[in-house]
Amino acid sequence: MKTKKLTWINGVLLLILILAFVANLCGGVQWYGLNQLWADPNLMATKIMWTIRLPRSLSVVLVGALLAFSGQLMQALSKNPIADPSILGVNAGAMLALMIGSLFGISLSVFNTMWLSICGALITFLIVLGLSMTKQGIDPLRFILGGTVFASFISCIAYAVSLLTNSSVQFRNLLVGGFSGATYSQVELLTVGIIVVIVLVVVLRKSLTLLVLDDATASSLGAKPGVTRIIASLMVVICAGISVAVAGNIGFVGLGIPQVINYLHPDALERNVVPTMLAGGIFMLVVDLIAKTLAAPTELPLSALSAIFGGAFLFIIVAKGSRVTQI
Amino acid sequence: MDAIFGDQITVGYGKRNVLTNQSVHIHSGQITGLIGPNGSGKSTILKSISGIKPIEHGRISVEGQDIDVLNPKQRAKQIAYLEQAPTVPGDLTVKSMVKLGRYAYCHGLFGKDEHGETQIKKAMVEAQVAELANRRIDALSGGQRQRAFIAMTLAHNSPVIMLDEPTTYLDLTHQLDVLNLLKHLNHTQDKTVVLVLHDLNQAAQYCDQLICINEGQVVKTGTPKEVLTEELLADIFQVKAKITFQSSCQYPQLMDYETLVNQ
Ligand SMILES: Nc1ncnc2c1ncn2[C@@H]1O[C@H](COP(=O)(O)OP(=O)(O)OP(=O)(O)O)[C@@H](O)[C@H]1O
Ligand SMILES: [Mg+2]
Repeated sequence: MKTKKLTWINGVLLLILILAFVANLCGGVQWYGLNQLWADPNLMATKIMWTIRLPRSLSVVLVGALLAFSGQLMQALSKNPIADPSILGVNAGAMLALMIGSLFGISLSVFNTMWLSICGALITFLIVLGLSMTKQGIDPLRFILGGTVFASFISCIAYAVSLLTNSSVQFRNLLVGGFSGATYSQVELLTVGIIVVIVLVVVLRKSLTLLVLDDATASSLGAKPGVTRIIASLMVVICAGISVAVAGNIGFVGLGIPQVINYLHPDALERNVVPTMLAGGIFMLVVDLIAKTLAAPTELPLSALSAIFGGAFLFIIVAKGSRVTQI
Repeated sequence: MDAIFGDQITVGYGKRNVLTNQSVHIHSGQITGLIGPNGSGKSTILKSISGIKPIEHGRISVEGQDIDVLNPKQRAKQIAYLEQAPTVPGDLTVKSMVKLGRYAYCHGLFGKDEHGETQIKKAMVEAQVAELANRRIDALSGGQRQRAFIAMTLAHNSPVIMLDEPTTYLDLTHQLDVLNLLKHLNHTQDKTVVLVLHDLNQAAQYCDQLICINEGQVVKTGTPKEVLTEELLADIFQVKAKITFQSSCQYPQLMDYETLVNQ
């Protein structure tokens, strides 16, 4: 009965994902039909479909899935429903690292962007963790508050850097988030990232599920919560880092999507990973489609659009009250 | 043989030791009750002898074997422990939470657990939460939630079960249900049960052995009759009480009790 419902949800989500993917692929400054893909390869529209739209749509799905999953993991890790790598400054850290790196003359090749942003994400995450550590472990409230403050601090520095060095045009994609200019090498990077993450999830999913419990309960069940937390943190850093490397700082996907899935299908983390990733992909495809078509030929800032939807989710969550239960 | 033996254990938080060189014997196949005032160290003892809280000094053995040689999963198969106030996310369903109790048994890449479904069903029926299976944790009453936690603990199917104040939040019927369930498991499956209880009359009625703790010291160990004396109640609990034995039963009961402090 239970598994049936999950299969059903996954099936429906997959179907919507495919539809959203096709819509995203066809939409843009001009709408093209899907059949354009198989038309004469010398036609402009066909070239655009293959070299611009397809890598973009693929990046969009993968980034959406990675961000949604990183939010889900972050929420389990901090035992707090309003955790998300963008709220906690991880995305901003990755972004700042990219800006500083490029200002110091590191060429932003796909490989360089990847390690720069992963390093930036890691450093900010460690700082936020350090700020929220008490003798008893992570204090969820300090984690969120400290992280939020630190995130705005980092974002401010990033904006300041871009203004002072007159590079806000160069970093527009990073600062406001967006997929214009997505390439196949970025798709490859994301694919490698998502494969690594999926393998880790498959191997560790039972332990990851226990992250939501307090340490004493988790270890009474036979888990090693300390070790799991470190691995999960690294997974968050990888997901958030490579997402930022490709699409800049997009917030709120990780916040809202896991919540919606958990609302539709309250279950352990391991069983909600797939629907969360699918829904993250759908959300990103739709938002990106809106970003590129609504005011075409101007592209709307993706992070703002995502924040509008995400902010609405956040509002609903706060209005509904916390989900962490202490007996 | 002792199911669990804590030999001269010292344990504390940070630099402060709560217990120093204390020994506890938990007899196999018996129900042992830990009693003592608030803050005396009952939870601390339970956490350390269940292997969850590392100890500073001393030795803990499980069925004669040092607990340190067991890895966390092996230990979890031996000892189930339920915390005094566990934190779980409210959006988990009862069934998925009880399933977490099977963690130690999941093995292989796909987390296979041959007896999982049966044990989960059995634990939910025993803890009387079968009809709540698909309800979210945050949609339960305090007592229902407590029973769901107990079901998760039972899903371990371990020979030793340790519960820290399992009867808090429960109404009288459900308190008795939990105690009777533990008694039943003890009788029929020879489970060793250790529990912290604040109701001394229930402790006397349901436990074979009582361990009284005060200010981090094991002050008395023995049968309820040996432990629950009028002197001990006055010394440790500052309570003046008459201990009576009903004609039909073996265990002592407190009568006419009142506090000594305000007198
Ligand atoms: N996490 C902790 N950090 C520091 N001190 C602690 C911690 N937990 C308990 N203590 C202290 O250790 C002592 C023993 O606490 P413990 O929880 O074992 O008492 P208890 O007998 O279970 O009390 P209660 O009946 O209230 O549950 C107390 O003085 C308490 O303040
Ligand atoms: Mg206690």
